[in-house]
Amino acid sequence: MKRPIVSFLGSLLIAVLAVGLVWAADPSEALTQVPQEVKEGQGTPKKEHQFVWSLSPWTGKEFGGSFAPRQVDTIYLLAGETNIMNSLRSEIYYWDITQEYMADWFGTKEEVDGKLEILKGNSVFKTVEKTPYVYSYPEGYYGRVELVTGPEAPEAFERYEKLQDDYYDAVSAYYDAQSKWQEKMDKLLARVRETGQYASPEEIPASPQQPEAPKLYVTSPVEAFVFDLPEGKYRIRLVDSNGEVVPETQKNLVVFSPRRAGVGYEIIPESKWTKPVLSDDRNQVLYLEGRRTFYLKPSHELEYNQYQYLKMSSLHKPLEGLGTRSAWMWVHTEEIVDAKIQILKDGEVIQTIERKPYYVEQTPGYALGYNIVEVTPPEEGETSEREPTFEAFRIDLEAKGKYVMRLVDASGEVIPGSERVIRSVRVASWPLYTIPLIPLLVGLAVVAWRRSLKSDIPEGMETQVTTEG
Amino acid sequence: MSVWSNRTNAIKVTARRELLSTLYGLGLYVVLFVIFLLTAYGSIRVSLLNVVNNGLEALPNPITSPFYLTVFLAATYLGLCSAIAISREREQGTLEVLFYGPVDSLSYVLGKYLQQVLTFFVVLAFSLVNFFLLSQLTNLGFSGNFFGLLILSIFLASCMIAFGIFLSAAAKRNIFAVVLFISLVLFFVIFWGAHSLIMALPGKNLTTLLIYTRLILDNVNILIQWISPLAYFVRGMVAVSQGNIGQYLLSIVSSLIYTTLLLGAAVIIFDRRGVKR
Repeated sequence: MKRPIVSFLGSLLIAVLAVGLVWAADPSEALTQVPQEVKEGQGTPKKEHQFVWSLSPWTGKEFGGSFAPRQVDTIYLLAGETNIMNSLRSEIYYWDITQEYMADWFGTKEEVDGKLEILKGNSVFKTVEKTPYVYSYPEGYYGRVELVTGPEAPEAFERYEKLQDDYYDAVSAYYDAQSKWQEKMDKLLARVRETGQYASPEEIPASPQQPEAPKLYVTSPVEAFVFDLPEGKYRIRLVDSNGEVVPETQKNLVVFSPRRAGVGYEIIPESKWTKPVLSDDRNQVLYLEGRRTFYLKPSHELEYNQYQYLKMSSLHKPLEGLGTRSAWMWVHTEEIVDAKIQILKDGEVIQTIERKPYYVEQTPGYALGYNIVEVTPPEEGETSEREPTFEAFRIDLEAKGKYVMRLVDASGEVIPGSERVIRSVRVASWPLYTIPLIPLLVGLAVVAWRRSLKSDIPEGMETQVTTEG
Repeated sequence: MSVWSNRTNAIKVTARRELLSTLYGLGLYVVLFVIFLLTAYGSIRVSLLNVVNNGLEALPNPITSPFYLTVFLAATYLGLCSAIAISREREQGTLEVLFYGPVDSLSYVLGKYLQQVLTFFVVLAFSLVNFFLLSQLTNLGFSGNFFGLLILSIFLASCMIAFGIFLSAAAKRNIFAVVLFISLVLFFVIFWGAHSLIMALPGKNLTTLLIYTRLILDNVNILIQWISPLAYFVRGMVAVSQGNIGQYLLSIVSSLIYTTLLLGAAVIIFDRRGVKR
């Protein structure tokens, strides 16, 4: 029976080596799927005029940016989320330094007309036509983004342009008023200098107020395919006005969902504020030693298959996500701000903590050190508010035993997945090494007991007793 | 007496005698002492020191990992014992003598299997006491999923024991069974460690070689997941941590299928090859 096992293991080893050798022949080509002709050229890679699907997938927190060149056969998107795709032609090349495909969008960007057909099995599941869309940023470019589609998209852009025009008009009027005010002030100062008499407060003109720049930012309208799909495997293609499939446009489409949802915490210890600790999984316990102060920044989070998520967000990077089909990753989506943290001991709420702004101030002198202080609203007479370094929930705990921490929303409901156990640890070395002695002591007791039994047996009877035992 | 009642009786007698023999010896207790000491020193102490040094740590329950390590080492020990016992009995000719009596391949294999599984219950009892006392002493606490892992560990042990019995039935010489068992278990452990380590590396800025290695390990992992007894436990462990009852039950059922297949294969090998030296 030794032979079949040996031959099986041998075959397995040979198969693994063979696969390894095939890849090893040109691993970069096998891994990146970049044909040699696209890589040719030292410093100036060869460009290839080809059809690409440009992608703006929703990543859970923003619209990403990628594209599917000819070499990629599968596109990945999130299920139940609005995603944007466009059919374009451009000059595509492989940039070896950053190991990614690039499109020369500024050199060539040709729209390819047609309808997007999404097939499930062999039947058409959905047909999507191009529609205008804009990104709207109500709180400024670095704030949250809203997608506006359809006829409302150009309207949103027009509103933004009008807002900008109004602002520039207001700024222009402000500079005129400022100039007039300065003129009046110069005259007034000249009079004061000549007469030596102070002007009465009523005579001093009020300075004009500088208009506030609008925060809203809206991108210019673009036409593309905007759609969302349920989880599943599909095929996509572009169909022209004659109903013919446009060559090179067929791809597989994998639409995937998160495995789990929860609340992740960025934990900023007061002692190491630049080195936050992450707690993504609700099974994790926060262990403390002694009295500790820390700041919590909670976010909603979703757990995705790492391969699918990375391919979705960086499809133009062929190495991204390779070898991670069995891995999972948490993606923090939206920071939770309108909630409170409760600390419970034995089921009773002992602390309720609100989110507040904090400022990290360096201690004076050359020696290193800092204090984290709460940013309070400016008092009367103070001109401006201090800009906070971060906003978080501050927890100060003299941990004794076990606590539970959780987030409650404005209506007092516990936010699912936000619970974490907090425990204080006791550190004592020697008892750690005495507990493992228990099985050894039991074993010695058993052996001693067996020996004592044997010693009770009359000489010459051991064999009989053993047989019966 | 029917064939089945004879078999049942043979299984009971074999399992009972072997179990008592194990419990009356010092070997199991020494092994448990070494395993508990290793986990207390190498795992629990390290977790405590990390908390002390950093002031705050967010960790999965630090009792779970050493418990997992303990049951794995204990299950490996029992699997190894199975591998040694059967091939040694064959080498010494004891097996042949035994089969002249009312013992056949099925009752012999099941007797050996049952004895080791019962021994594992003793291991579990000691582990429970050990980790309960450690958790009380350090206040690390038991996690909510500890008892899920406890039940799951029985099926890990079942897989390891069946794996040891299968190898010892397949191997003609004692030394070959032992070397093969240790080599394969080591390979599975090293592979699992390397795979976990490389998966934990941040995806950004990995060298091509590392990506290449990760790709190979991830592909080989698809195969290993079906062969390695460890993989069945890891799958169950993930299900426990996610509170996924369906996956948990699936892991238990697949462990049982794995055990049945290996024990069945061992019985077939015994029948075909006979029990002579």
